[in-house]
Amino acid sequence: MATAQRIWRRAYSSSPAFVPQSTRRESRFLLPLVERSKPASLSFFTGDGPYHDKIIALEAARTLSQRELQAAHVLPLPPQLRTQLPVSKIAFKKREEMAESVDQKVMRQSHYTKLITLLDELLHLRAVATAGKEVEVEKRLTRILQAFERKDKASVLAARQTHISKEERLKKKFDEFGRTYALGKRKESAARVWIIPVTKPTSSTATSSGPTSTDITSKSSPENLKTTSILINNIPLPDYFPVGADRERITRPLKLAGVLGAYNVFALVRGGGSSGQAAAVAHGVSRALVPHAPDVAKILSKARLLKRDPRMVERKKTGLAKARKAYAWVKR
Amino acid sequence: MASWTRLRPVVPLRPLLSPQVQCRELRVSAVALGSASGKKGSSGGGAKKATGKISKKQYVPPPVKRIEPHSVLQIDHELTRARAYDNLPIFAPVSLLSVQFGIDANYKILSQAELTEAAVGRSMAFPSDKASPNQIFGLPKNLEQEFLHAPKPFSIVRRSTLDLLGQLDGLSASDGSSQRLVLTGPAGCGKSVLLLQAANYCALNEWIVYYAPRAVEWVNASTEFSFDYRSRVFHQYNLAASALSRISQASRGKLREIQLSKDVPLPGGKAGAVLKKGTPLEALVTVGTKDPALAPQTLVLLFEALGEQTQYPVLIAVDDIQALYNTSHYRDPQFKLLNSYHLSMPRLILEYASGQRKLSRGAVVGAVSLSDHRFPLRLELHEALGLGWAGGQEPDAYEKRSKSLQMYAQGLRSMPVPPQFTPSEAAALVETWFKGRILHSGLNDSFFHAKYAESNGNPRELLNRGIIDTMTI
Repeated sequence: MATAQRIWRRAYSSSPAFVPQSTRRESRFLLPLVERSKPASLSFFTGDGPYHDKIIALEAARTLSQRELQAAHVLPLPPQLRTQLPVSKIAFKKREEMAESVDQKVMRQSHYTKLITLLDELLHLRAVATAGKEVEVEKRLTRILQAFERKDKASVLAARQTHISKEERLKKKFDEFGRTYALGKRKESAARVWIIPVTKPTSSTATSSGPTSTDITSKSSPENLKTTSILINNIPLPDYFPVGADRERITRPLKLAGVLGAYNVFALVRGGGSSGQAAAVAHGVSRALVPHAPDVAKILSKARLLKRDPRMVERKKTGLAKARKAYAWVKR
Repeated sequence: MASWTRLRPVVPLRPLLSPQVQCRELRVSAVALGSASGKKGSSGGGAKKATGKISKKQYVPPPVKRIEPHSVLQIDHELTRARAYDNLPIFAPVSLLSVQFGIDANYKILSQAELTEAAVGRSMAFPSDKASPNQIFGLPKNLEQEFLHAPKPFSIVRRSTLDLLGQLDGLSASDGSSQRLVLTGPAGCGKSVLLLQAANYCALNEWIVYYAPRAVEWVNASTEFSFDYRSRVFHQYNLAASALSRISQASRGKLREIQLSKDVPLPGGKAGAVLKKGTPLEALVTVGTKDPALAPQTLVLLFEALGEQTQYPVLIAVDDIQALYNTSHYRDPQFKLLNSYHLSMPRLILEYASGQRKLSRGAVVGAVSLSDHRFPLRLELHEALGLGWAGGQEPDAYEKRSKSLQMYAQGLRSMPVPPQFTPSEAAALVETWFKGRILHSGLNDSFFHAKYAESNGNPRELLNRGIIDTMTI
């Protein structure tokens, strides 16, 4: 290290003293204080200002109406009247239309649901006010609800009026090829199932006559037998499910319905393990079978095939080794 | 749909009283009446009449009839009779041994006259005599397990059966033609059974049959082997010796009729020692069976002689033929794995399969097995048979192909076996199983439909997963 020259440092500042601008004599005239513009509503800070304002307003209207009806002894309704209130004819805006009214491009589904729930409550209060002949409350609520009605409400209400017969509703479930579609689920598996009626018998030898000298009576040989073929992810059933129990799970709804050989099944399944996928396909087959054989729906539901099995893997809890398993208890 | 009738064994009504009880009653009556009772027992068990004679001096009780159990059936029936109550019907379970499988009409043996169009979709039994290929050559492992349960080994006659056997019939009729066929198809479609049908059919129709049910055992290092310097292959002498003796047994004396058409060097003999022209082939076989060390060479000479003669057609049937196109599990002294064509038994069959050695009259039929992952269907054989590739499974251009295996696979013709049973064939299989009273449960339409759908008609899946796994046996 070369011997460095001694650097002399001063202990004082050589720059001019700092003086705040606002205290300078000149700045008081040149730069007047400007009031920052405050937002019109505090909801601005939520990010969805107009929406929350609407919610607040509707909730206030609901509270006010409830108080007034309670004061008029209309609420709470006597038990026999609760079921006898007339159904109001109203069609609220859809999510896209509602978004425009709150100056948004897209309205969140959760927001829309909350809004609709609130509007339904106001609708109920209006019906109560009408029944209890509280005219002012009724007018106020009508005015509020009108803002949320659809533009084409007349046509929508008319469409709701028209009675769709059971046969027509059933017909909608079939596509142009006579197939039905259903979704089946179990644990983490989901299966999309199409069921198609079998038209041609399984190809068999054209000229053979089948069993001839047998002990049992066989008047009709199984030459023109129609058989069910099941494809899972475009793979034949025995190749996709090597375990016999899984295969039987899938054919069980067809067996119970007595339609083995009448329908072919095509399923796309993913997620979960093999048994979960098998149960998902079975669930889908049952649901898709109902339009084809409506009288069998009762049998399938009794067999708990139409119900989506709600059992899922239980979560692990803190302080436990697994969902239920606890750590070894130690005395001290 | 055919209605399935359930056949129940006819249980004859048994009398309420056992001979023992009758005997006791006779004694009582004899004592009371003081004379021998003329009461006759009505039992079907062949009870003797009690001799209750009372002398003046001494009462001699009649001999108690001892039931000598001469069969299990007798004991069962006696016990149940003794426990019978007055008004209740007798529960007399009939032993399975006593059930007559009165369905011999169905268990017909494959024969030329039977094989018409009407036979398709019927179950037919395999011959069970001592000289049949099943008994002499044995069975593939999975078929052995299946046949354990059935009262008689049987198979279903399918369209492919008629096709194959028809081709073999054509070969036997004409001289100077031979076929080299390989039965192919997905797992469990019935290749081994079809080959077995062919072997049995040819044996019944006076062919000389050599049937190898488990070619895997030739290459899985389960038998002894030793290197032979003259032929430069590893000789599997135990396999060759057993092959010789089995061919001789299965031929039922035909090898005594066939004579050598030329002088053949005597295996193991001194230089210049020959088996003269005109010697029966049986003499050649004896050389190999007496000394197993000479068996591989003898087997080759035997096959050469059989290939030259046209008196009887020759069938070489090999199951698991794809194992012969794989690397074997044997190791040489340098611990290197041997190729299959370096072993005597596979080499012999490969040469016949590729046409390097010829049969003047007969056929070489092989069946591929997809069950063993250690001996899979190799690329060379796959390409030689012209089997297609499923989507995304085509080999790339850099995949190595062994030239030797390609040479040994050339000229093989694939005969695909249908992957599914037709409903009538499946019905015949299920019906035979139920009618043979192998299973305790009854047959009904929904069971058949369900199992057919679950197995997609695949024969092995239908039998194993559909019937054996689900029903109690």
